[in-house]
Order: sequence, then structure tokens, then C-alpha cells
Amino acid sequence: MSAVPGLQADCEELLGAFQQADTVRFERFAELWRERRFHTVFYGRMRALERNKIAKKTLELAQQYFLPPYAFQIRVGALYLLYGLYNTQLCQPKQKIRIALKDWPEIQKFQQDLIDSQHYDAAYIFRKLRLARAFHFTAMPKLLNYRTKKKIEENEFKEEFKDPSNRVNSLITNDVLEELMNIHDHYQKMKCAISADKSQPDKALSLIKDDFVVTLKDITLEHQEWQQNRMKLFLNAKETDETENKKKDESLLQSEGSERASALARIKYRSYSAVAEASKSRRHRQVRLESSESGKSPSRSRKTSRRPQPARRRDSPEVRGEMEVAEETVTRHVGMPVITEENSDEEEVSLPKRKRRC
Amino acid sequence: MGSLIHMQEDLNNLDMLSILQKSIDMLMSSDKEEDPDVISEDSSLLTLRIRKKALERREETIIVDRACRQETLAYEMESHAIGKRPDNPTDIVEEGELLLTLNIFYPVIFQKHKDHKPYQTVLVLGSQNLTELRDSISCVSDLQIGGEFSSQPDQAPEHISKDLYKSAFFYFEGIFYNDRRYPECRDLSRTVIEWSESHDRGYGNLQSVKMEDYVFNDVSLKIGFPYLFCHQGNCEHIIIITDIRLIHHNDCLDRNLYPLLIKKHWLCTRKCFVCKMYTARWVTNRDSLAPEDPCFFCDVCFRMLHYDAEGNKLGEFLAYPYVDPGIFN
Repeated sequence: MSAVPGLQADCEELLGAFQQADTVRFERFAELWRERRFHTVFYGRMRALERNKIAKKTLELAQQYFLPPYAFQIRVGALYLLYGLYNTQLCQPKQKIRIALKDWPEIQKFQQDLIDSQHYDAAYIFRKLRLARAFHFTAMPKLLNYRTKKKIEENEFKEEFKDPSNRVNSLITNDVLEELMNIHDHYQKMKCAISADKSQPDKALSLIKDDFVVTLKDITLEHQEWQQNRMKLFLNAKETDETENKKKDESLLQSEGSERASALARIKYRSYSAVAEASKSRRHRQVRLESSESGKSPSRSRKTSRRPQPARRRDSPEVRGEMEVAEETVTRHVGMPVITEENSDEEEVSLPKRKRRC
Repeated sequence: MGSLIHMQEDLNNLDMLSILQKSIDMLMSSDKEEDPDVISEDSSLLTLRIRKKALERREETIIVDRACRQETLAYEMESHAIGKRPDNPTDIVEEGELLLTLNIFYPVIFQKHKDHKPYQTVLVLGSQNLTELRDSISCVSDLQIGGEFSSQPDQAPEHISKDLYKSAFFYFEGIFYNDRRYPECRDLSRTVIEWSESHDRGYGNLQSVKMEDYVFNDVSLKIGFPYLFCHQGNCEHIIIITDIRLIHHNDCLDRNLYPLLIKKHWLCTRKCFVCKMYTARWVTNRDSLAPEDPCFFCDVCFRMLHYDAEGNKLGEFLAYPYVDPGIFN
């Protein structure tokens, strides 16, 4: 069905204001709704057939914000929005909200989350909708119709509404880390068991970096923080007045860029110390070796990553300072085998200010 | 590591409920005098500003703004059965019943239907037999009467094609569901199955089963995928399932009303060439008395023109009974 003109903008404006309010309380939503007199969205002289069609399309639009991948706050806002729209529609009998079978478990999980986090007002609103029989339980989300469209309309929803959690977080979960830790310990014990010295594994058996689990966790945490900061910067950048603070925006985004560069650099720097951990996608990356600082094992060296990005040289220490994250330290007592890779270009790129961090 | 926003506000439950109720009331307009037909001048909503412009444009261009009969019909059909309950409680539709929405396209091919073919929309219950749907499909080809009757216009036979050619089949997902209720019914799908098996044409195993043994719950279906209904040997209708959902409290719960027609395309009927008032019932070919070939007549005009007072045939012509597709309007 073709969209109701202007409706998406209005809904996104309301949900955006709700997101800004940084709350999930229904009171706040009701205030925002009231300010905008949102119930008038169904007004306008029209006959019953058209009124039904418009109400159906309105509910369909609002329903999309209720499902993943939108952020939790947006989804709660969408729930409130659906409640408001369902109750203020002028159709008799009321048009229903379509929920597809595949989305239903997500919604039940969402409801459980609401109850667990004690957002009882949101849970109450949802229950009220259920009791009012506001839902149609359908096989597919969109009702099909058969008109040849001149062009396929694509709904592009705002990026800010999307939930920042992503694949990195879903891959490296607490469970995964715990398991990795267990396996790692077990491995260490095995190595000790077959070594001559029972308290320490043989030097010859040291093929991996001992603290890689900790490192992995740090990296993921940093990534998540970076994402959140980026989100905030993005929102801030959007808010500030364009004419006045254009330069500020640019520098913000620029420093964001360099922050990103330094953060990425640091992540790679750490991960490159573990040869076995280097992912396949990074094999092509040029790496250069540095001799070990401590000089404990002169025959072995550690690897340091060089970022092949001459353009990003402006990742200055003051920017890097902003990204301090509390991290655990683990004593390293094994070095890495020496591997050289060919790269004549890399000789030029040097980042002397970068210090290796333990 | 989810990004749940944790609100540490501690709300006393009773307080919260009263706040909640107040907020809920805030959603509705407190101003009972508000007229939903009027859009205020200073609306903050983009939707309303656009709609107001569109309405104003409409007021300027349309002289009389009321529902035309097609719109009235469409609305009536869509809503006439909503909320109906059966007189007999055993006819009630149970909770958990599935409701399918089918679009059945007309076989008629007019030039003006190039872009979107006309269709009717039928609601069917999951527990209904396929034969019930078959019986409910009203197609004009069922009413055709074969034969030339210029010499004996009063003796157009009672039998319509529906009675003579009873075979029909549905095709869903590789299975042909044939109507075998009457001894006259033949397996129309046999031709197709033999054809597909004769060479390796890349069609999987096509099966043929009896329509009357199956209800919609047993049939495997894809939503949005075109299927076929064929009757009269060569009258083919495309069927597309647009929606499957659970039955709802507001739906029509009278089992006897299903399959329920909720949308129909309005086809203009061909009128008699002479009076231009009545729907055509006869068509003539090679008619010396008619200005064009073929020519359509209503019953009265046909007899007046082609037969004299005693009922003798005047002139040379061939006459066939004609059933207009718009007859179901």
C-alpha cells in the first residue's frame, strides 16, 4: 500500500523526542503526545472506506518500530505509540495491529524484559492492548495487494533509532568468554602436565598469548564504548545548529575519526601480538617486527602492528588519551616466534609516539 | 551486554497506576467539542498539513463529493459480515480457526486490464473443504449455454455449462486437487501430469488427489504465490493467497457465511444495442438485420426485431444466448 504522506516524519519526530527524553515512562510519552496533539493524526473529512485504509496504514507504520533491530527505548516508544493510535482511531470497529508469527517470540521476550527491569507501566500498556484484542495474529507481516507499482518504495528508517548492539557483541558474549577462559586454563594445565617442570609449561610449548581472553574482553568493551561514544557524537553533531557550529561539527567528527583510528590501531596492536589469533582476514595486513623491550628473551620478538594509513597520522596522543579504559594487566612471560613479511612500503611509515601498553 | 536502559526510579505500585491512568486519559482529546472532520490551521503534524492541502484541492475540483456506487458496494462488502454471530450455536467458528484471504482473478482478458487484473477476494476458514470454495466461485463461464438457437428461441435449454461440465481442479504446490464428487467429473489434471512426465521437463512429482478429501488446513500453501483453479476444461482462474491469520473476536463467526466474498470487481455490463437499457441476453452473428457483427440484444428487443407476431424467423442470422460477465454485480 502506498504510504500516508508525512506520517513517517511525524512518528519519527515523536519517537525521536521520546528518545531524547531518555526515559521509558509512559507519563513522559503521554506529555509529548499531548503537546503534539497526536490524536488528530486521524482527522480530516473522509468517508469510511478511506478512513479504514488510512488507519490500517498508520498502524502498520507504527508497528514496524515495535520490532528489532530498533533500540529498546524506541521499541517502548513504539508500544506506547501503538497504544495511542489504536485507541484514538476513529474507525468502527477498530483496525487491528498485525503481528507476524515469526515476530511473536521476540515480542514475548520483550515483554519479559520489561517485567524483569520493572518497567511496569510499559508492561501494563502491553497487557491492555492484548486484553483489548488489538492484535491480529498473522502468518506474514505485510498484507499483500496487487497493484503494479511504478517504483518500489523503500522505507529508510533513521539510523539513530537502531540498536547499537551488533555482531561483535553477539559473538563475544559472557558465555563465550567464560568458556574460552575455561578452555584456556585447561590447556595451560595440560601443558604443565606434560612438561618437565610441573609448575610451568615448557618454553617450547608456548604458542599462544596467555592473556588473550582478557584482551579479547577488553577489546570488545572498548568497541562497545566506542560505538556508544560515536552514537552520542552523532546525535550531538546533529543537534547543534548547522550554520554556527559547522566547524565544531567537523572537528568533532574529525576527532571522532582520529579517535576511531587510534582505537582501531590499539586493538590491532594488541591482537597482533598473538600470532595464532590473527584472523584470516588480517593475513594480508602488513606487519613489522620490533625487538622486545624487556629483553627477557632476546631470541624472540614481539610483533607490533603498523597501520598502513599514512593519511591518519594525526592520531595524536591527546586524542588517544580520551579513550582510556581500565584494563587488566597480566604478566607476559612468553614471546612469539619470529616471522618476517615482505613490505617495502612499510619502512616509511613509522609511528614513534605509539607505545606498547601492557 | 545488551543496551537496556535501566531506570532506577522506584515507583510505588498504586501511585504508578493512578499516574498511568491519568496519562492514558491524556492521550485522548479532552475537548468533546472537537470535530474530527476539521483540521485546525496550526497543526504541528506534517501529516495533517499535507492532508489539509489535499482536501482543499479536492473541494475545489470535485463538484459533488459523495460515494459513488462502486465505493458504496466496496465498503458494504468489506464490512457487512463483521461481527456476525450465527443463530445456531453449533455453527459458530471456534477460537484458533485460521482465516485465509484469497484473491481469485477473473479469466476475462480485456485490454484495459493490462496493468492490474480484476479479482474478487474471498475469506475462507482453515477447516473448510476445498469443495466449498469451488462451489462458491461464481464464474460467468459456468452459466454459458452452448448452441445456436435462432430457429427456436424459446427452447434455450435449461442446462447451463455448470451442470454439464462439472469437472474442476485446484493446483497448489505441485498437487492437483480434482473434484470427483459426481460421476461426470473427470480428472482434468491428467493431461498436465502426463505431459510433465513424458519428458524430463524439470517439474517435480506432480500428484493428483481428490478435492473433497482435503480441507485448507491440510494443504501446503505459499503466501503471494500464484496458484490455479481450472473448470469447464479451459476456464482458468489464478488464485493468490494474500493473508493467513487467526480468527478474531470481531470477525464474522457464522460458519455458514464462509467462504465469504468481501471484494469484487465491478464489471460494466453490455447493454442492448437497441434500447441501451437492459443487459444483453442474446448475441447475433451474420445478422442481416443488425448494424454490426456481433450485435447484442436484450430479450425483448431481440424478439421484436428478429421474429414476427407468429414467431417466425425474419431474415438470416445466427443467435446465441449471451451471459454478460457483469451479471454478478
